[in-house]
Amino acid sequence: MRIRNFLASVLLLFSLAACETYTAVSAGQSVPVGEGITVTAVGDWAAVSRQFVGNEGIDAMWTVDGPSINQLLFFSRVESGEPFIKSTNQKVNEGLPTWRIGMTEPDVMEMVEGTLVKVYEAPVVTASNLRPQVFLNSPGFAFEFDMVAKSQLETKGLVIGTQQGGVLRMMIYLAPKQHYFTLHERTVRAIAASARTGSS
Amino acid sequence: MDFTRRHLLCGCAATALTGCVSQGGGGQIRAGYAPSLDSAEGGLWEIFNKAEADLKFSPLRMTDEELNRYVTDIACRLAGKHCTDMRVYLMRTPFFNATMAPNGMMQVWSGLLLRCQNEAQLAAVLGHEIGHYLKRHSLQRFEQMRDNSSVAAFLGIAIAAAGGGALANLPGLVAIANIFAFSREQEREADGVGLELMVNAGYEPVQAAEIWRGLIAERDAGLTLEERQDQKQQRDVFFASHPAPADRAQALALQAAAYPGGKRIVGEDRYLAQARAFRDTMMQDELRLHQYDRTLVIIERMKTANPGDADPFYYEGEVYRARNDGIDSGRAMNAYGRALELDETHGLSWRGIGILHRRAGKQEKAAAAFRQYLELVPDAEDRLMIQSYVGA
Ligand SMILES: [Zn+2]
Repeated sequence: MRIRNFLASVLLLFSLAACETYTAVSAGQSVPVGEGITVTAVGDWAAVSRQFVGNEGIDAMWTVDGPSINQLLFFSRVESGEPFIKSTNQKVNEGLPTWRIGMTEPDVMEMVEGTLVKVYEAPVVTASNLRPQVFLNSPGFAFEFDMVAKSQLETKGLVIGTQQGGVLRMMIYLAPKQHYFTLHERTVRAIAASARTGSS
Repeated sequence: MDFTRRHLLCGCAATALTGCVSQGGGGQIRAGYAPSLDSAEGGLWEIFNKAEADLKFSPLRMTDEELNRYVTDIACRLAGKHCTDMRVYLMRTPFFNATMAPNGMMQVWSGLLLRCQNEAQLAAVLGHEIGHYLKRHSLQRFEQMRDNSSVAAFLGIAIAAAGGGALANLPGLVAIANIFAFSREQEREADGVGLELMVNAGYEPVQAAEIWRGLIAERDAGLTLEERQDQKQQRDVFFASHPAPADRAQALALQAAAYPGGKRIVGEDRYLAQARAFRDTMMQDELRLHQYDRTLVIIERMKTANPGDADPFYYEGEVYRARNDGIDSGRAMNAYGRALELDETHGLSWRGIGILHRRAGKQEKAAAAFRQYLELVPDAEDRLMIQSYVGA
């Protein structure tokens, strides 16, 4: 119910506003998400406009039920020595972990955990189930994480990425642990599988 | 930086910027006491009873029965006839903190459990918090506030927090705990009561000072002499009305020495036996904060407490592997090696060694270490990834 309502309101906004918050992404549509990655939408999504994304480093943010409920984040090109995301709160950005060329996948997983702890000011973030996964036709990785955010909301995440050509490319899906995470999990996996390098 | 520095010495230990407090609150509480509902104290308790109802369902609560029983039993031995008037809640939050609410709701954070070297140190913290309860320090603070306009602000925060919405949120919990940040005199009084309770329950009181020494070492870790002076000065301004950690350690040590000697409980082994099952998780939470110099202080103190224990060496390896600065991989390799000397079945150390070799491009050595890891930890949660490295 909530999904329909949210997307309906997105479409309404789309038709009314000149500077819209969301852009509809319809099922089957191929869309560039950052530098050199294109994905095909599975199910209907809404892309959050640049100026409403907040944290720096996110090349695209999609949502089904609104960004406060679920977010699909794309990081298309993280360079060595850089954090993959930065908070709007500069104090938090001091000493953010960085991705570096030569990291093993367990290192990347720990880097993501340490970053989420800071950027989301979460007392607890625990990643698990690290496994190999092909992403963008390259050997990559996937893992899940559980996060208790500052709000004490229990959030679950799925991370899929690859370290290829001297950069880290990654997508993160975030949603409340109860109900919403599993609701769109399969769709997110299908979108990850559709990801291709180059822009359409 | 500020976030963590601030949290290190927070809690009732040293949070607020409050002035002095007058005597009041009606003195020591009697066992089984509950204030009448129409009194100011009754209203105060009611706010915290509601907060407690929510706290019970916090996702941060550590619910392991055995660990809860262990900590509650210590609290009970200290509290004696007041045992049933208090409830201890263990919260998974990687900072040093413990709080006591006026209704007997006590919170102990996992960052504190990680830092205690033995049962006596945990007893010291619990005893101190019980001291706040017995002396009704919250009520004193409340009565003092009722004399001025801050009571309105207080009630605003407390009621909003107890109302559920805001309480569901960690800063809310901290705010509600900190509103009762105690005065210097109250802290001293709680320290005194804590020592007394420790000794009555058979614990070694000197250990109370040792916790503060650890926190001072952490505060100063990785800082130059000059920075340490700055840090001290900043603290002195910030905690203007509170005993400085160094003074506190000294005062506690002096008071402890005044008790007659004798065979008293320190309980390194007992504490380790209980904490061991949770220490990996607590240490991982700590490592994610990337405050490496301070984490190394915690680890050194673990080594001192339990010299034959392999885990602290493994944790040391994890710190250096994560920091990965200059010669850190060499340091990490040594630390993992030491852990394996102490315990050849320490599979996680093999994992660390494997990662270091793989980073360095030594695939064969990496594979050999990872094989050891998988053999020793067959249900490793990253098994699929590691297997892909081994080529199995
Ligand atoms: Zn205190």
